[in-house]
Amino acid sequence: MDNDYRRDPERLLAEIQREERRLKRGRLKIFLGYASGVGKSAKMLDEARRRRQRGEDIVIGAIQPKSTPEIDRLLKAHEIIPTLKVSGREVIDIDQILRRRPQLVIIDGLAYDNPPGSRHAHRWQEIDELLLNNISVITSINLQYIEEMQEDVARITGKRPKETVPLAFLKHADDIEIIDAPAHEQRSSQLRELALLVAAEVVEAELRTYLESHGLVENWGIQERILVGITPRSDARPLLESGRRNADRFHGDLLVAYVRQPDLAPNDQAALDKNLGLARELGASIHVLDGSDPVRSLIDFARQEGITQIFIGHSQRRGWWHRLRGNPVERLIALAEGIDVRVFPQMSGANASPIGRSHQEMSGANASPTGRSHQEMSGANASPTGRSHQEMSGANASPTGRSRQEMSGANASPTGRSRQEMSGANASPTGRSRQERAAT
Amino acid sequence: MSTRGRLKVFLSYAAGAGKTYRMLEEAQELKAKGVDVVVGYFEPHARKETIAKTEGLEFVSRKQMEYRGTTFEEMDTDAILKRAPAVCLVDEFAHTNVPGSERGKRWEDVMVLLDAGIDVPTTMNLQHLESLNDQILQITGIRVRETVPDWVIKQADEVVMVDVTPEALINRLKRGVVYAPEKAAQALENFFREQSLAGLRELALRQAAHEVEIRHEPPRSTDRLLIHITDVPTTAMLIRRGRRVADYLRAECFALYVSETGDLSSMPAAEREAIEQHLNFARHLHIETRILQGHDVASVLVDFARRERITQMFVMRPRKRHWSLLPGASLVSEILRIAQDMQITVVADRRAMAEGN
Repeated sequence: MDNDYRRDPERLLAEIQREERRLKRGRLKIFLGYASGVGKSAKMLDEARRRRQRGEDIVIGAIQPKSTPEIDRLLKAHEIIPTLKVSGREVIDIDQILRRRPQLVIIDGLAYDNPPGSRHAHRWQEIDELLLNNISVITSINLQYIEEMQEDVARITGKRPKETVPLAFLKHADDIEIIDAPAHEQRSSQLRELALLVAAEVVEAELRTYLESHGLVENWGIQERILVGITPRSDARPLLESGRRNADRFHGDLLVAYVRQPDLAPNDQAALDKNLGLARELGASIHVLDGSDPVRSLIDFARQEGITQIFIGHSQRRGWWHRLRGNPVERLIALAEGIDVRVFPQMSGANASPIGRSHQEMSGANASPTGRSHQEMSGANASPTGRSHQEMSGANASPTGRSRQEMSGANASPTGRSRQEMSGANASPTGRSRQERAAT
Repeated sequence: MSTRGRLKVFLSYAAGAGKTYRMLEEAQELKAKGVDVVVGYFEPHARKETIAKTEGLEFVSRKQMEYRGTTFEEMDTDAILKRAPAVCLVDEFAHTNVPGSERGKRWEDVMVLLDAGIDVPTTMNLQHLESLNDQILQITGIRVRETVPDWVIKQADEVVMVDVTPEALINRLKRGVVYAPEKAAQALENFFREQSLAGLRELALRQAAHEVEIRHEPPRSTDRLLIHITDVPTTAMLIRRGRRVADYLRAECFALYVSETGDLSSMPAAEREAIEQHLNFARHLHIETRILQGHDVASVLVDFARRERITQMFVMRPRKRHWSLLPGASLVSEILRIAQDMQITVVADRRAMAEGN
């Protein structure tokens, strides 16, 4: 591992500063559960007991309103600073805790809001103040109260709690520990799964911070990250939908990349916009890449993003030229060391039509011209093929027959790879007229 | 006839996480409720707090086994069956029994107990899960030899994650709670590196989430996967990956070897052994295997896939030099050429990923 360590002075400085901040700040540990009664309180108090035995100065700053004989027994061993009742709400006595200055305070229940007019609107903000004053905190929360999980929780339970805590607060904790226990009904089972995934996400964030701060370059592909490569004319829908489904199944990420091509014809631009629109609908993060060699751009991007699987469409060009050089898909596979490549059919329906013939296609409800990819990974590598098509595209259903000659030799696309995140439709690449190029 | 016993797996990602402790805690609760619970196998690892938790529990004596002049102790499955408790605790699910035992693996003994209607809580670390073997190697640098096929875990009624922070684990290790000093120092250098532990932990949490999900969501998939078997050593990796993807997609999974002669016995011994090993490995993971005869491997594979309505074909990424020498001549190129109507997944060895950076 040490040979991965890069002795970059700036990195070292940043690390020292981080360490200094960390030393002045109390440590935060959060116990995460998916329901009350899974044992968070007992686990927390048990940890407090063990730490006390090792000599730490600990007080209890808040307990759960409902208690059990076991909890009562565990509480007896500790000093308690009782919560205050303000306007009918339980409020931790932050001033008293600050005066008392323990090393560690136990706050059972993180998702509480304070009455209007309080110094802090939320309990998590009070905890932040304690941490800033170099007091460590152990606290607990159930999945239902994480702000970002509200949509899912409402879908599962039909309820939306009033008091929530931002996920970022959990991600910034020094430690998070999940209290897992069997769930006995469908609903709590779904919450349980989400809680485990939230914990995984927090651990992933911690792992990344750790690796970065230690200058370690490791990518273990623990979380599947799927990159769908699309072109203006690719039959992108099956790739995108499968990408979404696979990302969901593996609880991974979905990214979509398009390597910018100069001077797109209006209909290609429209097709591309449609594909990117679908990608956005499916919740993918969309990236427009630049580069004279699309295959290379895609691979470089995949590496930079820690991609584990690339989804692309079959290339449909072949012939003597490809026998010699390999087609773009094969080149991508050859370059994709350590990354899976999944190649998708580019025809609607089971039968691939022969290349170099004219054919008629009808695409379904979506208006994007599906069924072919003419310019899969064009750029340095595309072969000269001449063909004509007739196609009918969905919504407006007016058959637009056109004949096209495509080819691109080592064509001049913008060089210098810069990554650009696209936000919204207005960020789509410009360049509206398509230029036909002759092969060199 | 009694119903099959319930299997509950306490899953974690490293020794010292507290799996056994948690299992014993539950046993104590059951005992307090009057349930007839015994300890079938318990690995104390000389951890004081854990040993304290066994107080008052009934132990079934272990069986002494002689092997090459040394005495080993194994779980005595027959004695447990005779004792016939309602619940039997079995530590270390992935353990391999000493040669000469009736069954090769402890999990196979557990299956016998379950068949007899005995509930079994057990413990296992994530790294023993067969389909994760390559990823564990990548994270820790260690090839784990004792593995449990994924379908065995799928049979468990419950999988419970026993979580702990890497920091707490490392502290326990340093305090000598987990291992003896020499072993602890060694462990801190590989398995217990902080980043390895974080990686294993994330993997365990995701696995636990997956185990929860498949238990509450009915399978609904029309996916059918095909894995191409060859004698190349990375085929084992391909099989694991295919199995894992099939499990996540809830897909059916097949493996196919194409023999040019249709007769394995005429092959060179080394090649034949490799093929047989891979086919057995696939069967071991509950993958349906086939051998077909044909000279043109790509077209046999593709024809089979079309006939069997395969939705995704898994093939191994060719090694680099094959590509640079003769693009278009490899099996993958040929498949890509003739199967444009199919989804082809070219699986890469992920260990190459870090090196590629």
